[in-house]
Amino acid sequence: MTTTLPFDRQIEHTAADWWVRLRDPALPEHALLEWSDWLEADVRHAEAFERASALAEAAASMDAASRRAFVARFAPAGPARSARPRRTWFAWSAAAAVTLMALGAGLFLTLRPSTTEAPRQYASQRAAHRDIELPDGSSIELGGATSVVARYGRDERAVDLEAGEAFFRVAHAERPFVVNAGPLRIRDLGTAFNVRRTGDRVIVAVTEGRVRVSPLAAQGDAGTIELGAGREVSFDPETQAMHILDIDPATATAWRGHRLEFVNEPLSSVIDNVNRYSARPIRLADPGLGKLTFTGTVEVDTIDSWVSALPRVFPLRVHAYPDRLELARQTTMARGARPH
Amino acid sequence: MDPTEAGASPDGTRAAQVVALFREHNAALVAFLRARLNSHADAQEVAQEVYLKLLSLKESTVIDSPRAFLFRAASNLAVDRLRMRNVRAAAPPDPDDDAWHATSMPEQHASALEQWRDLHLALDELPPKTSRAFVMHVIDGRDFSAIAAEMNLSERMVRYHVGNALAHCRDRRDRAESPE
Repeated sequence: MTTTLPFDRQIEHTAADWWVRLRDPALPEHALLEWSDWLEADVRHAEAFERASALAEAAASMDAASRRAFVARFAPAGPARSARPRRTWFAWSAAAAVTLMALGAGLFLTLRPSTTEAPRQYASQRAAHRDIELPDGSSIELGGATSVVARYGRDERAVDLEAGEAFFRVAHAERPFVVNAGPLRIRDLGTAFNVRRTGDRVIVAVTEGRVRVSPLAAQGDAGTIELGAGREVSFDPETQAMHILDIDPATATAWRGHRLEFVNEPLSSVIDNVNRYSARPIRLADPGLGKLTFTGTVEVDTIDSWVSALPRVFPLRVHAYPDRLELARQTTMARGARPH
Repeated sequence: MDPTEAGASPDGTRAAQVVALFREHNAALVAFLRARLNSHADAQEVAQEVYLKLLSLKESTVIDSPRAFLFRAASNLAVDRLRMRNVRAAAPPDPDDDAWHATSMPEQHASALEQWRDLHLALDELPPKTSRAFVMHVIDGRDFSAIAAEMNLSERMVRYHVGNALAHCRDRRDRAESPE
């Protein structure tokens, strides 16, 4: 039965405060008795307390995947948040330095004689980002170990994403801007968007404007999806299905601030992406481990500590070799207690 | 004392006292246990254990404040229940277990996000420390002392943030349910 009276916000707030105080196992007895006096004094108090408890209980009982998503979004592991803005600033200046170096290396490729119509290839090195200004005013920011080919034709501006991850900011023009990412074709409708390609697994996240995404396998417009800002579509090569999610645009392009964010991705795909930055490649000794799903943030400058923390969330062991890190299945006997 | 016998003769005895306590404070007892255990089902079970424990007390045991006694017993049994839960949670997961695998994950995740969308939006409106404390405590099940250490705050401040977040999320839900 629900009450039709307007909710008294003061009561709701007091109820939430009491709920939190009751969570403390060291709550003194007199406070507990004070609370029960309050609870029993007015049926509205009991109802408000019940609502606060129900909300907390519902939130606590969410499935593991959602819980990981919430933790990744609101309480990512790492140093105290107060240190965050400064760290980000450092990360950005480091990124700028890396980008400058990458630009130096990249000049090579771009200095080849190029008419507007000749395909141009751009690639970034492992752990490096690279900004590319295209002749039409569009720009592409490449993540680590990413390669694209720009093929500007009379009818369209096409960019092939061969591997890796890139953020596209498209200058509006009559010729459509199209990104081909393995099984998907993404057509820009005046916008900024991110594409991550891991083999045939492709994720397109729109941060501004709109894009149209079509599977190459489909005939005509069949299977075409139009996506607005704050939406993401992921193509799963196993099921050949496209799934749309609501996203925080900042999360999708977190790599630009040297963080990789994953929501429910197979560990194999996560490892492939992390390897675009890792000094020592990470290998899965047991392919079965690749099916575990991971949600969370990987800071690209502390990959080794991320790897060493993996056994706390997954049943695996890490073997460090001079030239690689290997993840092996952990036997039941070898596994220690969970950290919390 | 045998609880069945108590049920048969409920006057002037320990059993009568327990029945009276139950009538007067059962709602508060269950509410208290529900907050401690964050589970209504567990709270109802443990409340039963509390009554059985009271009924099994010797007649000679003097209880000066029955209500305080009730909560103290409940508090102890809640600690036992939480400990039992931790033992279960520490059991190693099996990688072959379906729950670890990507079976139909995209659909699951989309609907999960949809389901928790309101909570997500409500938390997004809060200062980062407030939403962080809430997620760590309520969703991730960390205790106040661990959160205080990680966030470099006093436990009192952590509770303050969690309480504010809970009130805000409640408030959001009310507004969503009764649009003006």
